[in-house]
Amino acid sequence: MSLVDLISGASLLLGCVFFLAGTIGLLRFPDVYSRLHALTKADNLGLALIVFGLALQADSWWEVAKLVMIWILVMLASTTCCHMVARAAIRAGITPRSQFDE
Amino acid sequence: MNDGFIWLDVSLAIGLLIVALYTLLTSDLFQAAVLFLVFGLLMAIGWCRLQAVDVAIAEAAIGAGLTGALLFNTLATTRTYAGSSSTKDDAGLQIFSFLGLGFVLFTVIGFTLMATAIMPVATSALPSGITIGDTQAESGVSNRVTAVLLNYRAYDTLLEVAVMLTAVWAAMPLRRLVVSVQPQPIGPMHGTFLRLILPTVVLVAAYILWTGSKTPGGAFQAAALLSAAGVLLIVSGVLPPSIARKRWRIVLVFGTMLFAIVAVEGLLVGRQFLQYRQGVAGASILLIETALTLSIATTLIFLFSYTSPKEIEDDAVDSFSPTDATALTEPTS
Repeated sequence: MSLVDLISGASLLLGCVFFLAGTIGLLRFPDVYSRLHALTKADNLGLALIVFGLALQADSWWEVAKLVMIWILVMLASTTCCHMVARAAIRAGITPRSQFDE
Repeated sequence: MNDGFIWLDVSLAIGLLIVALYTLLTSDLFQAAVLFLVFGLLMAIGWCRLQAVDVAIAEAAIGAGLTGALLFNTLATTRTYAGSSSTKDDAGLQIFSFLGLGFVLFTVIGFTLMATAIMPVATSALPSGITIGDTQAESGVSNRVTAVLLNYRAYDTLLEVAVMLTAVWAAMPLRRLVVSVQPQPIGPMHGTFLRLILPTVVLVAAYILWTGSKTPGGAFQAAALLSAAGVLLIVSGVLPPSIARKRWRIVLVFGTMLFAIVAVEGLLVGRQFLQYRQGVAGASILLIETALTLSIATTLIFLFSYTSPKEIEDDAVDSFSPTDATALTEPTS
C-alpha cells in the first residue's frame, strides 16, 4: 500500500465519518435548523474529502475534473435547498430552539 | 466480485439489514422516511458492487431520490409525523415486519446456496448455448444491459412501462386532494440556482439517454433526472402543483403507445411481435427510449404533483382533508 493509497483511504474514511455524523444529526437533532446544519456539513466537507480521496486514485485529469464538478454541483444544490427549507420553516413560524428555553 | 472487497460486501450487507430493521421499527415516520433513503443509497452501492451500474443509477435517482420526495410529500399532506400508535404496541405490525425480514433472509440464503452449492450459475438461458456476445452486433446497441432490456427482453420493459402508467392512473384521484399551503414566492437565490441547474440537468439527461447504447444509462435514468428537474420547479413554486393537467396526459401514454406501435408493426409486415427491422434495431431502440424518457419523466412529475400539498383550485368540487378539520379549506367560489 503506497502513501497515496493510505492518504486516499484515510480521506475516504473521514468523509464517510462526516456523512455518518450528518445522517445521525438529521435523525436526532431537535429542530429543523440544527438538522440543516448537520446535513450541509456532510454535503460540503464530507463530499470534499471523498472527492479528494477518489481524485488521488483517478486515472486522468478528466476524471478529477468530473469529480470536482460533481462536488461543486452538489454544493450548489445543497446550499440552495438549505436556504429554501430554512425560509419555508421561518415562514411557517418555526423558531429555532435555544438552550435558554424553559 | 471476489476481488478482496469481502469486508466491504459483508459490512454493506449487514448495514442494509440494520437500516431495514431500524426503518421498520421506528415510530417516528420522518425517521422512517430518511432511513428509507439511506437504505436506497446503500442498495445503490450494493448494485455497483454487483457491477450493475445501470441499476445503481436508477436506484439512486428513483429509489433514493424521487421516492424520498414522494414520501416527504405524503408526510406533509397527511401531517402525520409521529406514528399514532407506536410499533411497540402494534403486535400485528411487528409480526408482519419480522415475517417479511425472515422471508427476505430465507430468499437470500436460499439463492446463495443454490447458486454456489447445488446448482452452478447458469451461463446462458438459451437452449443452444448462445450467449449475448454472439448476437451483440445485431442487437443494435453495445451496452449489454440495454440490449437485454430493449431487445432480447423488450416485452418485460413494455409491461414495465404499462405498470408505471397504471400507477399514475391509480394516483389520479389524489389530484382533488387539497391541503392548504402558503405560497412561496421565488427568491433571487433560487432564481439564479434554477437558471444554472436546469439546463445542466436537461443536458445531462439527454447525454445519459444517448449514451445508454454504449455505457450505463438509458431511458429510466434520464427520466429520473428530468423528473428531478420537474420536482425542483414544483417545490420552488415556479410550476404550480396543479401542473398535472389534462392536456399533459397525452405525454404519459406517449411512450407506451410508441413502444406498442413499434412492437405490433413487426407483426403487420411479417416479422414477430417486438422484432425490430433488420439493421435499424439501434435506431428503433433510441426512438423508443426517447419516447419512454418523456413519458416516464412526466409520470414521475405527475406522481409528485398529485401528492404535493396544493392550494385551492377553482374547479375543486370536493376538497377534504384526510386528518383534521383545521386543514379543511372551503372553496372560494
